[in-house]
Amino acid sequence: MRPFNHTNATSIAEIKTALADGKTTLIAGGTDLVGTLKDNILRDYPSTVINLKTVPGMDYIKEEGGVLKIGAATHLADIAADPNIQKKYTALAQAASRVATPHIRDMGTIAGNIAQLHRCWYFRKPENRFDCKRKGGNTCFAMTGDNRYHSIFGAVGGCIAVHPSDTAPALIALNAKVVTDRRQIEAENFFDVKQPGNTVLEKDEVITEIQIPAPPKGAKSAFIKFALRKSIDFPIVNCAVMTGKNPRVCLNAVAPKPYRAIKAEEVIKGKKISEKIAEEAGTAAVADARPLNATKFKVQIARVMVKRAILAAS
Amino acid sequence: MDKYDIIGKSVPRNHTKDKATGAAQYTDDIKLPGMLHGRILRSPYAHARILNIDTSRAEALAGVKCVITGNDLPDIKFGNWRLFTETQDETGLARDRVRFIGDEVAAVAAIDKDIAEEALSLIRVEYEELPASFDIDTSLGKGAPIIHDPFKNNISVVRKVANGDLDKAFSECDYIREDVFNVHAISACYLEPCSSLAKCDPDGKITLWTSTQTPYMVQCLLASALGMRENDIRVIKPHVGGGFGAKMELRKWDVCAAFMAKKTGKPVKFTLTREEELATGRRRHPMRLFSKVGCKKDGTLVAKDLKILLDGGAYNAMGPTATFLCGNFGLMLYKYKSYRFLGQHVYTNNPPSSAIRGFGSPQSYFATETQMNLIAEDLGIDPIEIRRMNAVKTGDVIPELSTIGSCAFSECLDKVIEVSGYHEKRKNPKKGRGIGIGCYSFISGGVFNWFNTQYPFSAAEIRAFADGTVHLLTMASDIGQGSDTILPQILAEELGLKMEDIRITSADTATTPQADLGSWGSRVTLMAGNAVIDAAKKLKEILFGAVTAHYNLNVIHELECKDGRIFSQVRPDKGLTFGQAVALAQKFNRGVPIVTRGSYTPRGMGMVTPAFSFGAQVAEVEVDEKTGRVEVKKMWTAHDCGTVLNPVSVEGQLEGSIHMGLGYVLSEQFAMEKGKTLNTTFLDYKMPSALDMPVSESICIETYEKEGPYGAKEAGEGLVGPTAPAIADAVYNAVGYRCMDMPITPEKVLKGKKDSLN
Repeated sequence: MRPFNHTNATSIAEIKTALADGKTTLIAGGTDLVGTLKDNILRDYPSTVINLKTVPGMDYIKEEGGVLKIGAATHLADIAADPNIQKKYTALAQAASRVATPHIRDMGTIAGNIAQLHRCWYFRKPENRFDCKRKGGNTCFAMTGDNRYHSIFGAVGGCIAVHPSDTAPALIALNAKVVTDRRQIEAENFFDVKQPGNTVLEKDEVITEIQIPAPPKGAKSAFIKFALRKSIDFPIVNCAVMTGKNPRVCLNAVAPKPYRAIKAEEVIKGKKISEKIAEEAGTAAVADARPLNATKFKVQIARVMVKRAILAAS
Repeated sequence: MDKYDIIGKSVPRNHTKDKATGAAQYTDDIKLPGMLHGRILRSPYAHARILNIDTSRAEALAGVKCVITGNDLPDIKFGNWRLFTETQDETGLARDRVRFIGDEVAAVAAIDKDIAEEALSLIRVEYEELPASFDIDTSLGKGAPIIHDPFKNNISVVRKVANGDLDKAFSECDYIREDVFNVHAISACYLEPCSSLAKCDPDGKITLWTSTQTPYMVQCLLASALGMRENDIRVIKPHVGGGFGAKMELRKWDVCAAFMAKKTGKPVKFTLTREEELATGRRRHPMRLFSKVGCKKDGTLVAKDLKILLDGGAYNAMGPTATFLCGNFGLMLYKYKSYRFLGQHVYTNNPPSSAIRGFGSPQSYFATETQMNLIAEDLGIDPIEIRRMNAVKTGDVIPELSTIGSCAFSECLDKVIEVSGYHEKRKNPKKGRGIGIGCYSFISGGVFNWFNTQYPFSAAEIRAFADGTVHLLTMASDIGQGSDTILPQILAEELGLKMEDIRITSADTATTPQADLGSWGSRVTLMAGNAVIDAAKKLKEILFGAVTAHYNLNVIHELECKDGRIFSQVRPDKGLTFGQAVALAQKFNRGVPIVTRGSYTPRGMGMVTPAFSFGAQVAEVEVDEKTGRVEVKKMWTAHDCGTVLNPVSVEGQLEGSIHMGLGYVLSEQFAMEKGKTLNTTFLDYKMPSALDMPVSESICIETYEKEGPYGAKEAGEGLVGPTAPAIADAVYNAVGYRCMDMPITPEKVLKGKKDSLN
């Protein structure tokens, strides 16, 4: 790891000022950031890392006016263990509980989990050995290389790496909002493909809170994950679903951004969920898939994940 | 009632507390005053000529104390097969060519790691890229790049076995089956990355602490690589966090550390990163296995023709032994009238392959056992029955190679079938569930002296003290497998002492007796165990003499050591404590300390091993038919490891074997792109986690192996062999996908199952 300065912030304003120089990076749990710094995967190295955890009042779970509010620095383990979230916002608790390992869930935060960089073994190779499109280079090495875990819904900006978050599809399915120091962003619109970066956040913008409206009466939610290992494994495909009057279905690890499967939602909307309907929804979810040779198997897995998540939420 | 006092008991490992509290010192934990930190510059090319190396900028960097390249080191090649010098193909650093991505090109020693790392980036190497080969087909094809000049066809080692008249045997067969299997590379995944620390005394003598399985071999080869005398080099093995075969050679950082310590006069330490280990570390050989087997209608095996091509990577490493042993594994389980083997070790520009737990057997048994299941299915014979009717037995002779001294293979089959409910589960299949079988036989150390040691294969020294304690010295290396516990346990039984009465010093070439070939091939318990017994017997003669003299016993009295006493068997009251007997014997010698030495070298034991172990394993899996995901629900194992010396240790070995076999068949795989390894973290290289481990149940079928200490033989290493074929067979039983090409992935299951969606 190269040397950098570390500052403990005491307020969001202080962080905003620090980030404005473009050479400072925000740290909360650090479970993604420290890895990227140790491996030196990016073109630019921060001169300063500023700590969000020392800002008071960023770690909370509360319900106010029918809205669940989660502080940006709330640990994934606390979200997974919260009885109210388990009951009412089930998909989120399930997703948080499937992230990495107990140790990482104790450190990692909800904001960090959605703002983490994507997973691609070219992009993540230490010492920036593959200076790829997502870093401002000219080539997507995965496009012609080993892309077995990459996008089945094509490229964005020439990149086929996938977004690996487990909680992101749950938040989108639950119709969450990401609150920053300056605005509220629908979770669905929060993700972007930048160089490098995975979100629409401005360089000096800070996530402060996640808000989730109470699911409508009768709506249930569920999250399901497909990975090779039961622990410490990023998803090959994951899926979160909220049923009810306005059902929402979101896949992740299948595209550069979380993929809201609108066609699957249309299939189940207003219908009583059955095995058959869930199966149809699964097929509809991947109707627009354009897999590469090596990712064809992911289409089948995505179809099954959607079906099973719908059934789990019925 | 028990025959033994301590043999057969689950004596806790004597390093447990150290390791649990973090007190145990591994090489990287050792810090010496003034110590420099070394880093290695590696080749970015799979195959290239080195035209020029400019180290001047690195040398000018403040804090850098030493920079070396291949030309600074003596031009001496090394490799473990000293008996066949043409197989020795490595030098301390690349001299004029690099042969894989990660090949060691230059080394830097600096006052801290960051400076050393920065210095690497200042070294300018001019390469001329050469055509490279990343698979055996390319290496064996026309116009292939020649990877090592003396081997124009890229085949570095050939091993042949031929018994009986093969053509005649095949002509007698009612049924012949030919299959091709492909198996892939995996990492040893030891938790301690390689580390090496060298110190040079003012008189030029070197001490090297290194994470190794074979301190004696490192000592000899390092001496030769530096043009020094063996005794001027002392190799110490501190605690080692696993090796699995991948730490049994002199490695380049050993040479660099020693050379740079000598050059700078300061201690120099190299510790590899996990990325280096996964990208460039030793791997299990990928192989292509062509197997033709013929049998009678009733399933009696008659002939086998096995050809194996090993992807050796850029250097031989332990490939010659793997090539040699594959020929043996091909016929160790079942009887054939005629058997032919051709093994060819092929150079490619991949990272070097070497020994990884099983030494060629996991690959070999994947083919043998899968093919047995295929034959059984074709002939409509029960897969267990076909094994039973062809199984080797005690006293069977493996032509020109060995005689099987003890064997409970058939009993293992019977037992594992019974406890797993194999037949009921096959008869009444549940949807998505499957049950399968795999078997193995393994060696208890090798007898073929390719290292050309001039010493016994194992040795022990016992120093006895008047306070009733003894000090056991042995070069045997505990790398986590437990020899520092088992050897004292054997000695305690021999001398009638308690574990706490025994101090052990092991694996230090300057203080422990010459020599020991190291921890590999499951040789330590048998060979070092026998050496300990040999030394103990000599000690007992001395002490028995003292007691006999003290009580003026009739010389025909047999004496015994038990419960800390030495006494006449017929007159137990005539006896002394162990310490009194030692004191007396020492007085007889006018104070000369009581020291005895023992050794073991297998002689007249054929060409393979002094003892064979056997076992059978059943796997039950659940296959998600819609996603292709395989989950192993339970493993049952019945194995014959002779006498079980320490049940909990054997159980630990077995669990470890299942873990490694599980990763091998289901999740571990290198993503390679033109010689470059893409998955160099444990996130992307998918070693199974604890949660992925199935429940397992095991039964030890005890036999008595007369060549082994207290009747013991190999336990644990061979068991990595049956896991992959058993799981693969269970997957076939569940969904109809027969794996011929490891590993099993969701993608392959989806494509290959009976009602494939594609």
